[in-house]
Amino acid sequence: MKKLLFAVALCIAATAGLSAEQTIRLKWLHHIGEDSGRQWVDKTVADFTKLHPNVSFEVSAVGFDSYMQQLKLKIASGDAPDIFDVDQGINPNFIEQGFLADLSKEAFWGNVQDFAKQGMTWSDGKIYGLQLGTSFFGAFYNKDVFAKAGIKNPPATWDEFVADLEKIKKTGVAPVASPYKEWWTMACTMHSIKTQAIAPINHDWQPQLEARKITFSDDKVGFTDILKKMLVIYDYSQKDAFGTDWNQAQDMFVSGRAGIIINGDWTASSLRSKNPNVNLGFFLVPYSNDASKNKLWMRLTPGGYSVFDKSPNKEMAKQFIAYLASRENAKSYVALTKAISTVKDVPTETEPSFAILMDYQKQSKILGNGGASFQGDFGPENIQLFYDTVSEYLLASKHDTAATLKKLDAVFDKTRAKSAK
Amino acid sequence: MARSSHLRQSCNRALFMAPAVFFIGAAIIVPFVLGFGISFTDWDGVSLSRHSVGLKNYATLFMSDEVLGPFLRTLFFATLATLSINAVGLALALIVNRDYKGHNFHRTVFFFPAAINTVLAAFIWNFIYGSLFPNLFGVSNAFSNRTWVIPAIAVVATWVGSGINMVIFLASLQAVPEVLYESALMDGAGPARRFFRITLPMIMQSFTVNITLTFTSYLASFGIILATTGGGPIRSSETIGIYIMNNLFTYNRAGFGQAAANVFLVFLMAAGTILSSIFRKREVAL
Repeated sequence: MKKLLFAVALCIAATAGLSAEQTIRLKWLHHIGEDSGRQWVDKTVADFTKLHPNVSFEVSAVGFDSYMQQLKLKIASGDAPDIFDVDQGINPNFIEQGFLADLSKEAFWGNVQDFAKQGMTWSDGKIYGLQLGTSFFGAFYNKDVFAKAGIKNPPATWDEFVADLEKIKKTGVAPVASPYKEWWTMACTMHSIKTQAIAPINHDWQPQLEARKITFSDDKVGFTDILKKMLVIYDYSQKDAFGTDWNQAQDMFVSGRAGIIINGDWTASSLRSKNPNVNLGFFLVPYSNDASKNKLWMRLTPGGYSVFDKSPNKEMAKQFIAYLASRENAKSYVALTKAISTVKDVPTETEPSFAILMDYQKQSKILGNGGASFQGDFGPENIQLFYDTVSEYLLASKHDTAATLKKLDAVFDKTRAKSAK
Repeated sequence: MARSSHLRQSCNRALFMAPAVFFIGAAIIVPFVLGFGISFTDWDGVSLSRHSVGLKNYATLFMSDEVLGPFLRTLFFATLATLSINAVGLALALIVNRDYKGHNFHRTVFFFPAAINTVLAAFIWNFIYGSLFPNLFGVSNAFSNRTWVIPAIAVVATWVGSGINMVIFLASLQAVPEVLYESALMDGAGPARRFFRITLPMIMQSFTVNITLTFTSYLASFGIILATTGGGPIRSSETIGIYIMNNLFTYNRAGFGQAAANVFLVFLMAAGTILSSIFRKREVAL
């Protein structure tokens, strides 16, 4: 009897010990809204759980608009997720506070393409996050609208671009659909021009402006010209661009009421989900009349999937990140989201409109592979002030570039003064 | 003996209050006290550490000119919303107070928007301003017009809010003794005279409640702005509520945002007290 009791007690102790030792619950907070992305999340969690049966997940999805607020609140209240993603350029305090585990020593970097690894490296030489895809900005065009306007090939220079806009306008269709009710879409249009124009001249233009080492007014990179080009695009946009949201602009495009949308690479799958038969093409926005200067910049900024450094499950969370970087997972990521993978030897699922990328590659028009990624954008307050001021310039009855540059300097000075300790 | 029953009575009373005290304490008082302390620090809203900076945040707040814009916008919006919600609420109450076939149905219909979630209301009006009106009248989206955005949000507020005020006015209207109207009628008073001399003074209590509540709640309003415009275009609908949220959560200046919130709270309490005391003086008792 005694023996039996002892055995039972031993069994209980063993199972309790086992489960306490092995059961791990990983919390993952993300902001993926698209169906394709959500499918990838579900598949990844299921596959990883198969490899590690002792791991279970608590996956929470938040809308992109409130994602950073939620994440900050969770961390501040001691309920930090183990896995999350942040744009480190906009949120350097996540690194300063030691929230992000250093991933640079992990073995999985061997799977990742060198240029991507370089792009994800923070200024201290360490890597705190894994990006699974590279992104780029450019013009998506409705081939039917172009054909109706008598345009055969996408434009190669700025003048050709403007001439094409004029031709589309004559057919009674809005040349460009600009959803400026959501400021980030203006940021995408801005990126599609400014990266080509400014990055080759001053790669640190943005951090230097924020640190007030240089000014907008002393314009050495041709930002004035970029403002004027933003105005041309705005003038060729549909009526009431500031009253149109992203969704409405895409509806205009797929129904043939607009010729062009300038935004990021995710636009292709988004437009196709609205209308699978949309006759879609892509070209880089040719900002210069010297065609050789017009390039497509791959964007890879420090950020992506990170591990909370103070997580009790840090090691398992790191294993999860390593799984994200595995070829197996990268393949399903690419298959579902049509992204261009940062992982080595993962074939690209071709989105037909991106076929032009092969031509660009041949003409060495694709940049960013040298690890020279132009930094994402300004900090959280300046980014808003920047696009507010650009919006004011576009909406003004008299468009004064010099005054706009002055205003930008004034508001950046103010932010700098406020953040001074 | 009498003393112990008295004690028991107060214990019972306290017991009934306990759930309310607990929830208000946990949801409002405790966070408020904790937040009060944050306003004296340089907390960025996410760090695990914070440093005391004394009154620096308050000094910055009173010396900076950037808070003036949101403050004036908030006053403008709250005034506009209060006027229109109460005017419409009173008009609706007067309509459905009469005895006619279908007045109960109308009461339900007019109250219905009050039962709709703010986010859904914002969605509906975004469609009305953004798609319906442009197609019908060729006008541009009022939510994206820097001049018209606040009046446009006030229209949404009126649509959502006037139903509740209608109910309060209606309760008051029904409490006005019929004899007053009868004697006024005998004295030969016309409809306008009856309204201004009898109805208005008799329902002044409901004005006290309605105007004070509407004004203070729209001064502090946040959800309706966030859901309709988020403060845009170009900050032209950025009220104090949005300004505080931006500083607290977006710009990594939680200490400063909290200081602004505390100062605004004092202003709100003062505004509420002054308003209700003004209207209290005008109330008539029978």
